[in-house]
Amino acid sequence: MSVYIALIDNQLLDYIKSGDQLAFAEIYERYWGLMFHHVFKMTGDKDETKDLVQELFTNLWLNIEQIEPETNISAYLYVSARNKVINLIRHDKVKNNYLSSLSNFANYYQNSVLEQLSAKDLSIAIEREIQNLPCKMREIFELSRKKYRTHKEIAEELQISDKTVKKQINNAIKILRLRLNIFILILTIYLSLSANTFSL
Amino acid sequence: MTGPEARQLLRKYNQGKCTPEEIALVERWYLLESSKQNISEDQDDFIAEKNQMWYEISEMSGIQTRNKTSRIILWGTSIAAAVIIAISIGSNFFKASQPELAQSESISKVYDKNPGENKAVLTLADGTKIVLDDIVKGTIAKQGGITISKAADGSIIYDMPAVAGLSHETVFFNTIETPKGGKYQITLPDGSKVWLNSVSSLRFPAIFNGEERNVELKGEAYFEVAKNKEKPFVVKTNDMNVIVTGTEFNVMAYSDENYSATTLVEGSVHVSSPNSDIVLKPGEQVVSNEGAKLKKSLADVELNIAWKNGLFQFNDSDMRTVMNQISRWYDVSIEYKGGVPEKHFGGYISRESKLSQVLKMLELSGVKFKIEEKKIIVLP
Repeated sequence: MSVYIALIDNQLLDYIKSGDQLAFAEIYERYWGLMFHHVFKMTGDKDETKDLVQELFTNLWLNIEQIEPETNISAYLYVSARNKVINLIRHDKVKNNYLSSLSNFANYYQNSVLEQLSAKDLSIAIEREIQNLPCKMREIFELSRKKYRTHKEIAEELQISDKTVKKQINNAIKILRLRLNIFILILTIYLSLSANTFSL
Repeated sequence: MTGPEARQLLRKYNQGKCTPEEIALVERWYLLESSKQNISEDQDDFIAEKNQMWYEISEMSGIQTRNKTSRIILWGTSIAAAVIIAISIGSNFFKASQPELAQSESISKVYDKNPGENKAVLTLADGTKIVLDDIVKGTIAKQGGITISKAADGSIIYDMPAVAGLSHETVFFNTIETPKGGKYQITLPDGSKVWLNSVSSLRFPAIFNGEERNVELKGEAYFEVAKNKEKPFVVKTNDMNVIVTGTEFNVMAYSDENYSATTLVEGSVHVSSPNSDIVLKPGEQVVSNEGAKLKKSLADVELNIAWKNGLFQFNDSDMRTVMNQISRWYDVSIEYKGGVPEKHFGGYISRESKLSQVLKMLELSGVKFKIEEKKIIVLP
């Protein structure tokens, strides 16, 4: 199993910045589904969606040097996807009549002041997209995400202290290591046993 | 607002020319739309697009494509096969029958080879060559007031008496070189320990009297560098310089492999090449790929230093990687009949095994070998 799965997005970003292709593959693993789903929902065209998502990730790799290390990757991908979808809309490459919808929306709000989306609004929007993923895809996504949640977040959710979480996690890692070592030991014994028998 | 005006607004948005109010309008509208839209198709089909898109992305971004699934399956089968064979041999052991398992048609015992051993040649500054093996013991040479001796465990020790009497201008360069089928551990004059893998050489001064402790490496070595903050220890290879003050790391720089790598086990190292400069943390490695920029990544440390721990260890390793290691350790050449098989290997086996035993393990992954005199033929 890939060691990258245990890293949070920003650690992966760090590795991608130094040219690490496997870290990039892990980011793709995490976000392809979310991006595909969102873009397909908006465009209704599978080929346009594939092209757009490919371009999205390719640009991430090619422009990685311009991306700040603290950047939130999910938000970055979402915003890039939105720009690209809007581009398709204004070139009439999507199913719906979004232009009339936008003009209606603008007319409705013409006398009120709309606030810009905050970072929080954005993350709520992304969270909603995750919740709307089909079952199987959502499970995969949440599984990978749960692995790299911070101790603090888990602590908040479970209403226990940071330290307890840390201890629990360390215990779990120790047990895993022990199991792995035993497995390796057994394997080595088998291998040397088989090697000895062959030489008879 | 009319339809054409809406289009115009989106154009401005894409060009980044919107006012904050317009941005708010577009983004809030987009958010609302995205909450209204749904997908009617069967979405489980989407997963099929994942690999194809990744293939295109790899192409466009110029990164290597790997066929992940088939590799993982091979790993799985070879481990399963190893365990299954081991179990049947286990029972075989007690029953002492079933000769067909112990027999392989192509791997003959005639040209079988023993594993490599402690073997190296030390060349002193004056050109004197000293063969180092398990037989030589005690003091082996003296040069410039330095006694070179061999310890009970086979390692070479440079013993400097009080430095006072030594001329600091004269630097004696020594080279230790391991042949095919050889390995050697040496303790350098500063107390640093170096394990040399097969077909490797290390050039070092008999006294480290410069600003830096410079050594030159070809092939592969594991370093346990003695701490000295004032005098950095520098390992030079063709592709990179590894600079440390006291730490443990592995450097692989064989000229017949298509990359070289420095893997950090403990402490911290600084790796530099003409066009890059990287600091490593434990568990990370830096790879130099045929003159390209150095690249840092997480390392499978155990795998990288398995040789030092007396193991061949593979994880998704390709045929050439595996056979190169075997060639160096058993002093055999490799011939591929009908091209290099597209196989990948995972697992461990002791480097103390005979060649035939190692090949039999590999045959579990569906390749076939023939041993001739100092040569392995990989059959199609």
